[in-house]
Amino acid sequence: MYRWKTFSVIILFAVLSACSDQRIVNQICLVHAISFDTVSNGKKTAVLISHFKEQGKTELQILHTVSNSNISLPRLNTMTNDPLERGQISMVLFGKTSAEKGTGTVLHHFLRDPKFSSRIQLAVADRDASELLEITKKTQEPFYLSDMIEQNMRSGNLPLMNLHVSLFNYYGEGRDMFLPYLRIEHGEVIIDGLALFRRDRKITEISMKDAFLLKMLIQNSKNGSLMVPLAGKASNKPSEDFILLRSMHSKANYIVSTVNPVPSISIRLKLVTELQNVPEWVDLRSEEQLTQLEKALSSYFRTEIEKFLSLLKKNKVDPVGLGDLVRGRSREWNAQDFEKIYQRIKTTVSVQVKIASTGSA
Amino acid sequence: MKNAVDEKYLISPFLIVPLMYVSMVGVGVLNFQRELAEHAGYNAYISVILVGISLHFIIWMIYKILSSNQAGLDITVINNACFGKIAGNIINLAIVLYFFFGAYIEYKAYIEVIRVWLFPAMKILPISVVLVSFIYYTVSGGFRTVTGLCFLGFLMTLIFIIPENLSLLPYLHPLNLMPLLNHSITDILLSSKSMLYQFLGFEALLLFYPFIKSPEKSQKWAHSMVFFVTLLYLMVLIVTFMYFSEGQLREISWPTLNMLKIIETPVFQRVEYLAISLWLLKNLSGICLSLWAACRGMKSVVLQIKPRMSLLAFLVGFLILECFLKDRSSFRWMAEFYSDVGLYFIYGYIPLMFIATQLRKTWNKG
Repeated sequence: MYRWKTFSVIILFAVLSACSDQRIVNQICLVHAISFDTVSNGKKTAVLISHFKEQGKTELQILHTVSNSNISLPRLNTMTNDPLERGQISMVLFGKTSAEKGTGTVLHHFLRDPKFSSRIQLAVADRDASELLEITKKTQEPFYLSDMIEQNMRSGNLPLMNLHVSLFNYYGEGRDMFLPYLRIEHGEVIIDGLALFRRDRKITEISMKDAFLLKMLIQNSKNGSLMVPLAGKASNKPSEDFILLRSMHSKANYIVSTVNPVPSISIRLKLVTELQNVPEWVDLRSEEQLTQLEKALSSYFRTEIEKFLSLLKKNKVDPVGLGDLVRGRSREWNAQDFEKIYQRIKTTVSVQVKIASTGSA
Repeated sequence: MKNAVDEKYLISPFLIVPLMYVSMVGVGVLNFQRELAEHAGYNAYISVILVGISLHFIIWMIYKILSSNQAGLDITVINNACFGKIAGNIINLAIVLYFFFGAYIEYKAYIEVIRVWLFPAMKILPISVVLVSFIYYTVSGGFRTVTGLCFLGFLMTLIFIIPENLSLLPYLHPLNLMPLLNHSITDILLSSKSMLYQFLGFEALLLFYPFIKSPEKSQKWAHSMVFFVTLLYLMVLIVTFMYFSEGQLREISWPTLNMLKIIETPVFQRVEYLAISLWLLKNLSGICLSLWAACRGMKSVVLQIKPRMSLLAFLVGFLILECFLKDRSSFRWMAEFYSDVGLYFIYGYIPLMFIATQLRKTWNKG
């Protein structure tokens, strides 16, 4: 009796493991990156796929098709010998025109489909996105673009971004989406700042310097670096004097003082930096000069952030999430009403810079 | 105190912990956040607290009801004693059906998760047969086997729920929870109703009570489990609310699984597949417990049917329902009906029985 029972339990477990739906890696085509473009006769979808020949050798290939639907994976599937598998996508690229015309349907698709990871990187190109795929193909590394963006978030000026964060910003009320903005320079892909969106349309793009400011405003800007021009007293050529600083830690505090009728928000930033390079006339051993430097940097950041915020207001985009801040403080809030007063919001900025280390000098 | 059940079938009072956990945490923990937010928005965490507090009273009442009877008998006997043979048996039959449908809904919901996340094209009948035979094996093994499975299910889910929530920390926006109170009491109560649906199942205590060795010692465990599970739901809910923006949550059907998609480990690029597979154990133990309760209830209804026969009948019923209930709308209707019945069962029937048994007790004394 016991033997029979044990036997049947083993059989049941074996059946439960369900070997019905197999996907073996060299019998499928893994899609690594996908790009969406709008062309004159419809919508162009291109995918970067890989064929695994043997251990350590992958062959990349680009497929593209033009149709009038947004996601034409089924159509692309008719071009390959093995079925396309979308679970490994790590990079989604939007071309210039498709980002300007609206990315909503694509984003919704990526939200609904459980196959896509939340860590997918999204980006906007300054031209047809499929051209960027061609360059990735040359590198022979399927994850080149997504790795590039991820390392720039960890050790550069880009704020934390991925599919989840973008969807959070896109569907969340009182905040807008932003994505990395890619360009081609001397035949190589380069991250040239961020593209800012209003709802699902790209409105404008900002430089890497402003990306650092945004990173400071929304999270800890650790590892971001910035060139700060220094109006030196002893210098003859002020335009050439720069401080290269690297952020070690930063924290932004928001205080919403009034909500009605026009909100006013005061932003207090604390930034701990490391000086990586200073003009030769700055004496880093002198306490007095350091405090002066801290003051100069603070006022520099203050004006830059004020400029940045007025740029956002001018374009009616809200990547910082000021609308969300006001929503959290008010019982009745709606996105349409807020949009109308967004340009008139009062923001006051104060920055406190602390130099924690002066580098190896 | 004399027990009606033979000593060798009893479980120690502590083992009520996995039983309570398994019956209160259903497959709903994978997607309850969305329904809750439908009414009370991001204030829905208040509903969880409300339901949690009310359940402490219900548990206290259940213990009072069951201990009012000196012989340590289950609810079916008390029903017969209070309402007479015929009316009592009708109520018992209703309770049996209630547990049967509870088990079926849990089972069907899990199948739906498998379909959406793992194997969209899977045929349901073969896997149903496998699962049903597994359930048969467990339930026919008696109450102690069911408890054993529940214990495994308890451990399996705990090891992933808590680490999951911790790994989401960098993506949380505490501001999402603000403003603290911008929904009306009605909205919050409506959300409480859908929260109660998640807790449903712990009423099995009414039937397995005589199987606990010195049951009065288990009461503190039952209360601490209600507290713990409320805390667990609260944690999952608050983390979900901080992780998704409100508009985003509205579009997502399985928030808990969706949160798992952000976790990347060296070997598993996707943890949710592992989580769903582990969830099978938890889910089967919940189904087994409900079915066991149904079979136990059948034993005292009219014909004194043997549990093994009623178990077979229930499992065949599973497969038949599986064949006929194909469309989503009828299943949704069934789940809604079940949750309505559950609401009356918890907040109507149990307090009523509480009053009835207390009155009987005083009369018998006098």
